[in-house]
Amino acid sequence: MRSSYFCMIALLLCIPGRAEETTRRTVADETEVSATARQRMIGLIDRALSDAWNTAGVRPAATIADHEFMRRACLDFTGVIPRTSQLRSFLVDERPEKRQQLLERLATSPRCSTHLATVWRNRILPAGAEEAHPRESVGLQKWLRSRFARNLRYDALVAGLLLATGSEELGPALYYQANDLLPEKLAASVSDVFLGMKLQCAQCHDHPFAEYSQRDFWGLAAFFAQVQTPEAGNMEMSFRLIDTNRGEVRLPDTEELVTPKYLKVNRQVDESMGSRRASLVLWLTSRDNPYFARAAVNWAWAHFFGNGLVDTLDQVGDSSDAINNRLLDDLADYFVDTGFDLHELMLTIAGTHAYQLSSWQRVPADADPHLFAYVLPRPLTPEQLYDSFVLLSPPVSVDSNRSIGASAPQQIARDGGLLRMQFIRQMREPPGNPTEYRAGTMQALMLMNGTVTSELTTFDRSRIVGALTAPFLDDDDRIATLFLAALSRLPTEAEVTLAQATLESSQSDDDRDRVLSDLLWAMVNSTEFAFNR
Amino acid sequence: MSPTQMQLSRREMLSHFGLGVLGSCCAGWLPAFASQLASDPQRKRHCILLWMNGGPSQIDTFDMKPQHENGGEFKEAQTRVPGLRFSEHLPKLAEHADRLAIVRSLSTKEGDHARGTHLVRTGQTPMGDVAYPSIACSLAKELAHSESQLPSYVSVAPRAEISPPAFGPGFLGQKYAPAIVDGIALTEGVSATDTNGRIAELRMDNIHLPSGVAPRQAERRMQLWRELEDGFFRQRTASSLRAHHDLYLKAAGLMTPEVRDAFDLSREPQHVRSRYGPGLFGQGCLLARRLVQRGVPFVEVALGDGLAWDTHDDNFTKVQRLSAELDAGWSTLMTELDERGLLDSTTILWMGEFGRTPKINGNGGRDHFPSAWSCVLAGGGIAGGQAYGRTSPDGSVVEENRVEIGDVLATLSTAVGVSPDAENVTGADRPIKIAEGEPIDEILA
Repeated sequence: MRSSYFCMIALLLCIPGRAEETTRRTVADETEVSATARQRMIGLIDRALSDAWNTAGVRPAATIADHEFMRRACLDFTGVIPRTSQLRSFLVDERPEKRQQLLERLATSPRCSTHLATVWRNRILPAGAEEAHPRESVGLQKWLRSRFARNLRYDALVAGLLLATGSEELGPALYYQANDLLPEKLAASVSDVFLGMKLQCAQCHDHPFAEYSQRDFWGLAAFFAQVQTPEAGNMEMSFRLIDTNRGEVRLPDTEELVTPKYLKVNRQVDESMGSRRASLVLWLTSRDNPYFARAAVNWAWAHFFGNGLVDTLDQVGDSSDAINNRLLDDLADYFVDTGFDLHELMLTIAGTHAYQLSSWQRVPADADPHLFAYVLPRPLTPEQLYDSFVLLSPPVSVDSNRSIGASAPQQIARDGGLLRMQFIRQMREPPGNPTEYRAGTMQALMLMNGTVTSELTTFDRSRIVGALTAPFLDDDDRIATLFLAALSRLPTEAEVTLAQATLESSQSDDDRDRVLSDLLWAMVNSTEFAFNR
Repeated sequence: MSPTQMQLSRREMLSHFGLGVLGSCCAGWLPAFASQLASDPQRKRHCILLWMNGGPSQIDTFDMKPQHENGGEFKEAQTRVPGLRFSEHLPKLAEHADRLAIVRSLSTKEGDHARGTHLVRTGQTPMGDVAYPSIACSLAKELAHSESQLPSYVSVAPRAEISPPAFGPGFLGQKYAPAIVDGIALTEGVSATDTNGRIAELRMDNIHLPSGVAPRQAERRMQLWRELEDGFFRQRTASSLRAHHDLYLKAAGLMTPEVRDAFDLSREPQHVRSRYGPGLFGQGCLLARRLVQRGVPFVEVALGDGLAWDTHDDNFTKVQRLSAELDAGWSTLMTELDERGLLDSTTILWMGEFGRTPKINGNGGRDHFPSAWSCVLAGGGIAGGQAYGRTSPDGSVVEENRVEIGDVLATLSTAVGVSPDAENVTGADRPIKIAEGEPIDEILA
């Protein structure tokens, strides 16, 4: 059991290029160097995309305003809409580089690590794993969060996950557990998540379009054939993993054994690592594996734009993809050169001109979204929706969710409140295009009439409505604050008139408060609220 | 539509549906024909799933062994169909035996509640990286009418905790999730299932205004919402945004008096409500009838809170009580559907996750038994008045016409006019058939 732990350490030490990390440079130097390098990279992306737009004869959308930028960046980096106070100070900030500074603040905020942990947990676990293993799932969330918080190198993060033994910390072993410890499931997941290739089909037959065969798939699966759980003599509390020297995979419906083989490269499998998993990780996370860094970059791009630069890494695209493939390569090289620095990668992508383009424009129906000449609105994820509700107005009843065992209410709200879990389960869509809105009427009814919205918008329970009724505020303040809080913008003239007229039509003081709560209800149910746009 | 087209046989009809599915991308006229068929009121089909939580004992209900010591305490009774016999505790249902097809030769391989539930409701073992939809979601999707305001799948009192994916839409997406109707606690602090002999009250989730919000206030909310939306959409065209807006309008459309009426059982005379039986199951059956009348294509009604049919001990007392509830609800449902001319277009499936051991255990109970058990199909599209398949005299093995769960689901699908070969496509572009099995021709009408 212990051997694989040593393997991991050995592995991290022997990866080529690791030494560079320890080159002596002062922190200030490093920041400056990376900032310049980042600007260079951003400039490169901006020029490449701009050339692509010219070639295609596409006019890019307008640049978004500060308030729109802040909402977009907050949702992408921290998973919640901005606080009114943050928004107000950002809007009055006059420094020209304030957007870049905002991104840097967001990237290093604790909320960012929480959000990234949520995103990656959902990304690596098969559907339903969270429900089936709630305790381990919270453990994985914490494990990921602590690593994102110190911006652990991406290669080391992945190595830590794939070499999990379950003996040190609850969490990462869930990846194996949720995949039923089946080599074929693990191979399909690893190739999808860490190599950017959809290999599942090759489980049963040679892939119809791409260049790999059923044998390639099972060659990858073979790396997981010797991971086992120790004899379950006693009812152990946590799921443990050990590397043995027993266990093989066979081609389906044959007796043919398949030995471990790295995907798409003719490289001898290094068997000196002590375990098959370790041999896999050595190749997987190495600089020479072009897929590893490109898959991460493509993920990061999709994180900010809904679509990746390319759909998958395993299909040879036509010439219109050439620019995007080139960009992908450049960004991947940059990612490797920065020591697999995820923060740096995210700041680079979010620093581009493309990220600041509007989703407002009337977009021609046939415009290719892969040109990134405009931004596609993305529906908020269930987590973004729920956490934004809570940020807007923490539910009073949060105390009743103590049963989970965490302490501070914020902790509960973030990690495992029962209300939150229920809400997410009912709102969760199966994996698919993140720019598509796929909810059904039952979800809409839940948002209109369900407990969560009611807590937020019942006039005598909602904290935000309560705060707005303070006597020193006048109606204009109240209306403006509500719009800033919920929609991250000031109201238009027409909206001010509408809100005032509705307030004036109220029958009593209580009813005035109700009007505010109704306005809030309309906002949190609006299309504007439901999207990151 | 001409009379000739109306008289297409089932097989011809199916082949048209099959073509409609396959050809929809390449032949313009085919989808038009299919939608014509679907919008023809004569073609509207319904399905009711009577779901038995915990796995009902076949040997004490529909596949009795009175000659064998495994048979237990209950007597076999004659139904209205000569030679077709089942439990004495289902006397009212026996009057409908001419519309029932009992499958006595179902054999599956999952003896665990969660896995069994997943297997029989989705037709798939809970393995693999595909989140399979339940058969209910798949059929409701196929049978849905676009013009209806009502949900296309309503599920009464589901106890989905045992295997949530088995009750959900899986890769089809939440759009195809059921509308949930559940009991309201009649007494403070007492479970909604425990009606203590009083008639249960049902309510659909989130269709009513939150407490404290009056209709006038709700109107004001929608008014404000519409104004905000109008302003927002002045400059935006993205289709995803439009989808959100339209969905809300559709959901708001569900909150109309007509829709609430459909779910409001207090509109039924007291004697009708009593005839169905006072529990959630009986009232759920009544709701199923009301919903089918209004065109809802798929309704599921669960019997037994928790795993009520999981009779590891005291089997006979429990099954007798459950049978009484089942008999009242199910038989009244068939009677009332028939009276309204709806039984011919409504197919009913009675099923649990597995059967129970023929041998009675030391606690007077029966344990999990997937290898030889029964389910029942009834009503529209089903050749009633028969038992299909046979188990051995001790009930331990299937001796004739063994069927698997895929065959049952394919039969159900065919009976409601949906080709089991119709395909759904997963997120990974993998086509998956609605039901992977062979329809049992002998029990299809």
